[in-house]
Amino acid sequence: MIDFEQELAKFQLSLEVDQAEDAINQNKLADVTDIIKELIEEIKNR
Amino acid sequence: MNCPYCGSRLSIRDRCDRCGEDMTIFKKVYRIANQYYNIGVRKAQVRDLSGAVMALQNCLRLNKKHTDARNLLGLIYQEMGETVSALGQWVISKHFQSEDNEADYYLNLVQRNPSRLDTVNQVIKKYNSALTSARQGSDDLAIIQLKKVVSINPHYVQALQLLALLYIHNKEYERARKYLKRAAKVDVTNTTTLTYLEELRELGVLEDAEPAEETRSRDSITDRDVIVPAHTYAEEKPNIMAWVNLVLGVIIGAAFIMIAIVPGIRKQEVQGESGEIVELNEQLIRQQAELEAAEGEKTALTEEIADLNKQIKKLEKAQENKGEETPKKEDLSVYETLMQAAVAFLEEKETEAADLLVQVDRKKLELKQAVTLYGKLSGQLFEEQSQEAYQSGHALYTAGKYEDSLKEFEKAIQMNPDNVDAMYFTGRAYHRLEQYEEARKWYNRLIDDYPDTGRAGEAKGRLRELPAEPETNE
Repeated sequence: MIDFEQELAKFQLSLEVDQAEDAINQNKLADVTDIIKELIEEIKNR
Repeated sequence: MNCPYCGSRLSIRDRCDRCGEDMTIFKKVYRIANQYYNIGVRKAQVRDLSGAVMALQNCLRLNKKHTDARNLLGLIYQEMGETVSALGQWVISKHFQSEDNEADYYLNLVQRNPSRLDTVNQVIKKYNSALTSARQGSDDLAIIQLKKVVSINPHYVQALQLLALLYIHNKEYERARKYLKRAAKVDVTNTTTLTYLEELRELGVLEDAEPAEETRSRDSITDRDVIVPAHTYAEEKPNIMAWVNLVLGVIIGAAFIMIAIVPGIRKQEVQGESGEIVELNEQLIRQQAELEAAEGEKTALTEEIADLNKQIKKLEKAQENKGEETPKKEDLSVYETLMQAAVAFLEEKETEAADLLVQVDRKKLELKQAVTLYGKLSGQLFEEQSQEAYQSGHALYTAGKYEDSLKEFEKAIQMNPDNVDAMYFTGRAYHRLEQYEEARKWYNRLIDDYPDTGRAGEAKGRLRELPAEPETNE
């Protein structure tokens, strides 16, 4: 039997259109390629 | 695949052709990202949207600039009713690839109609309000709001799931099943949808158990149900006149459109075309004005050259009269070269003009008009030609012709002493030719004179690669 309160807590509020700009700005755009570049830079600087 | 350092297209070699960095690891990462993208595409094709979202997110974690993956992720969010998330992905996609990007088309589709965007926003606000109401215990209010939401956006998976959950909570299992089926059609493997369907299966709410459903629906009659008394009234047979009326209505409507609306649309088109013609005319006038200005400048330069020639002849005569030696041939030749450069410029042979102008030693020009002419020509030519010489040198460097490339880089630096790219690659060319002292000299010049540039940073790295300077014997 599913727990109603527990299931209800899993639902999140959706972003409204005027909140889209903040959401995009806060989006962390680092990827694995960036991490590898940083590691290579660190190794070169040693 | 593009180089993560300089952005140039990668070849089959393991090093970048432009900046020379090792690309082995990056190529492996890009291949795995592409595999995730392919998985995402296959899952999306069979409507496994949740699975596709995960695969595409993994692809973007490996390669954030994978435009196709980001655009597809946006499409999937849009299909699931998450319009703002979709817009976010398309905006980021445009940030990484501003030209020739499908995201332009998707963004236009959503944004070109302001009322549509407003509707999307209203739907989201209603959903959020319904969720808040549900959390506060107002199930009925939440259900009313959610029914409105899913009628406007029938693919809004989260809203369908929440509505189903509320019906399950209120023991209206048949209605819950209906909305869960709709959610499952949009996203076949959504875990939440499958979990709720499984719950209904355990409760015995089966698809084909019609008598049981009728009983259950009788047992769960609520105030919202409309009760229609059963009777033996038989539906009347289809009336052919209704169809005839319909066809007539369509014909009348089409005639009305042809008579009243199409001429108006055509008039607007003609006005639009007239507007375009006016704009093109204005453009033509502007271009004519620019041409006239250029012609004026050309005439002014021609007059200056003629004036200068007269001055040179006067000078020669004056010195002859005084009985002095004729001016040294080298002093006159610098004016001749300047004249040749000016003539080449007027004939629009800019490369030849720049090559000649580089040979002129500005310090030897004594006549004021000659100095002015030199200033005008160098301002017009040197920066652009310096870049051309650098590009030509870089092509030779990439082809392995290091000595030839050095000549081009030298020309580029003569024309523009601040051309850091030419300086850097001069150092690189000497480095490749194993002339380490020269290479060290150029790298140090970049680091000392242009410390804030990217090339200075790269030069520091290259310096470390040079073999150690030989120790001087004391």
